[in-house]
Amino acid sequence: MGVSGAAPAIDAMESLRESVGLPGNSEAIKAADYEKIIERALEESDGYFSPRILTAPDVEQVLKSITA
Amino acid sequence: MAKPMFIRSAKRRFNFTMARLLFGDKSTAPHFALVGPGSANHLCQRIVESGHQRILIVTDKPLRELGLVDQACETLIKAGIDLVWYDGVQPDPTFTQVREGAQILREQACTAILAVGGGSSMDAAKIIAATLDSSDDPESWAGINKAPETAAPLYAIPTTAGTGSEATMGAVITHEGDQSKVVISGAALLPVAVALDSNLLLALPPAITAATGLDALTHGVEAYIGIWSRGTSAETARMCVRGVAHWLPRVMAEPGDPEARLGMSMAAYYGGVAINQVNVGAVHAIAHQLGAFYHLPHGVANAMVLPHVLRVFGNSATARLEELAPLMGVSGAAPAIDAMESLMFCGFSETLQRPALKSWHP
Repeated sequence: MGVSGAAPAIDAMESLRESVGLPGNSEAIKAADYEKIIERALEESDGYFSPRILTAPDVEQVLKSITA
Repeated sequence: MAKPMFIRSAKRRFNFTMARLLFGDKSTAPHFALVGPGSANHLCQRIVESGHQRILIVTDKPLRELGLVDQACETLIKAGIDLVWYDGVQPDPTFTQVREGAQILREQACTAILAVGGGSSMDAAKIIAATLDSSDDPESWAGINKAPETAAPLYAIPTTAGTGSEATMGAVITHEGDQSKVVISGAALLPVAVALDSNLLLALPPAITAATGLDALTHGVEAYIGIWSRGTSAETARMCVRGVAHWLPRVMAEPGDPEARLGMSMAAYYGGVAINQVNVGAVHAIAHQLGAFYHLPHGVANAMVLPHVLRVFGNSATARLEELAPLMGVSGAAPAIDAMESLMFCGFSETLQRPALKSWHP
């Protein structure tokens, strides 16, 4: 029987990150920089062929998740 | 402010169509890799046999002071090849560093370049190589396929396992002014040949091993889940993911294990081959900004961003992630592998126009 859903793979990647001692967030990231980061990230992201186009709220959600 | 979604969507469709027309479905890795302990010597022997008399070594000072560069270049030194040095590369190489290296390349009339180091040295070396026949400002090459069509022959000996730069025709260079990073790419930037020599990685510090390892994982994942697949991109992306999941924990536990180091080198190389065909994705787009704004190491930024971007993709990535789960060891389904088996599994000689990989059993 195959794996169901995206969560098992994503969880395995997070577990690997934790197991090798890499942080899941950073105190360096500042909310005040979000707007500029989002703008530049979307501009660069549009040049790639990811599964779907990211929106500004998507990137903001990611940034909030990794801001300590 | 971001452009309206309908404009971004139309631009993406246009870019996708153009990319498929330009690159087709064939692989783009027409070089070869020498693999295994001591393979750096074999690569250097090939360089000697190619007739180059004066070679620019592009590297960084700490690596040179550790003696690793001399170790990698031992065969060139013994053969009496005239080595010219540029060891000013720093993490997140800048256009200033590229110009310094380019000046040495021209003034010393070097005919080839050997990059020894991590992704920064290899990326800088690519752009230095591209200045051989061009007086253009390298900053004008920013973008896809805008690098000159000719470059100095570039050879690469990576001393980390993660960036995959040894297998790509792209480089990331930083503007000193606003610290923004630009991608420069072109077929001539692809190294002619590389050596994946695990002997050079045995003393790699754990933090760098971990960060570069997660960088490699991100390459495999992004190459696999994107909407574009061509050549060997899917197979090599899967090999990368499988290799990192299998070898990284082992190499962290046993840093001096040459087989585990070789396994990680192979995984990183596969990741490089994969992204060289279909490029990276949104994880890198965000991670690059974190590097530019806060100087977070690239691999660390990718590792932090990866799971969160995959979650926001939602259903658009679910099927591909389900396929990757067993390779990540979910349900214990990932079979044991060894580094040389990885080589055979990939079957490069069948899928490329000419053999790309040669295993080396010393």
